[in-house]
Amino acid sequence: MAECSSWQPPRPCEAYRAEWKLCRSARHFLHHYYVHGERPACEQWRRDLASCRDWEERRSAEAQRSLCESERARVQAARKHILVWALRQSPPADWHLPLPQEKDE
Amino acid sequence: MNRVVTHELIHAFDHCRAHVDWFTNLRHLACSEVRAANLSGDCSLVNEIFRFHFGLKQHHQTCVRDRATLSILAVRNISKEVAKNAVDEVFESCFNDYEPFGRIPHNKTYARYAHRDFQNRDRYYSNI
Repeated sequence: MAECSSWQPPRPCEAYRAEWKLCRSARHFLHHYYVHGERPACEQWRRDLASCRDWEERRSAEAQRSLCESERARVQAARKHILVWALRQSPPADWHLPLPQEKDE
Repeated sequence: MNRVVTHELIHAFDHCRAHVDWFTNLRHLACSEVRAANLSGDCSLVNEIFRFHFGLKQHHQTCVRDRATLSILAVRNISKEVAKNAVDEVFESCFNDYEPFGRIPHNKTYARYAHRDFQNRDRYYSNI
């Protein structure tokens, strides 16, 4: 986290509001229930929106800390599963060519 | 057609971002098929209803498992049991891998939000 005065919320406050609104929508409830079998949890988006607005109004250090913590938790949650494959540094040079067929069973 | 192209583009994305052994590593193939079925819209509620597969609670995951297994069987001369086991082994990891979207793009709104997050990525990672 950048400690200097150039820090800003990771997302614009409008993005937090949009995510919260989407999360609370009936359509998202249906999608989430269909995929995960449970109702979506939207409270964190509401807290992040409040923190974002708090930071914009008062430059609150607590709001900054809360936002950073929340977003790091999201990143951790997205990366918690061990990948099946090893990631590349760059695409293969022949990515655009058909795959070699000689190993096909 | 959009769904089919999206499905194949996810395979192309995996080919570019990881060392995927398409021919000799069944887990790699299974993982890409799980991701493609999950993220392309193959298993949307509407598409499943058109196939007369009715289910709501967590049905998306059942569909992804089934379609990934079918996709493997279409290109590999193996038993359904072996294909299903490969899908089961990698499912937990690959089903929750939403790259490059960061979320399952159920419709244009989700896709728009995913693109917005992508455009914002520099600001995001430099401020957390």
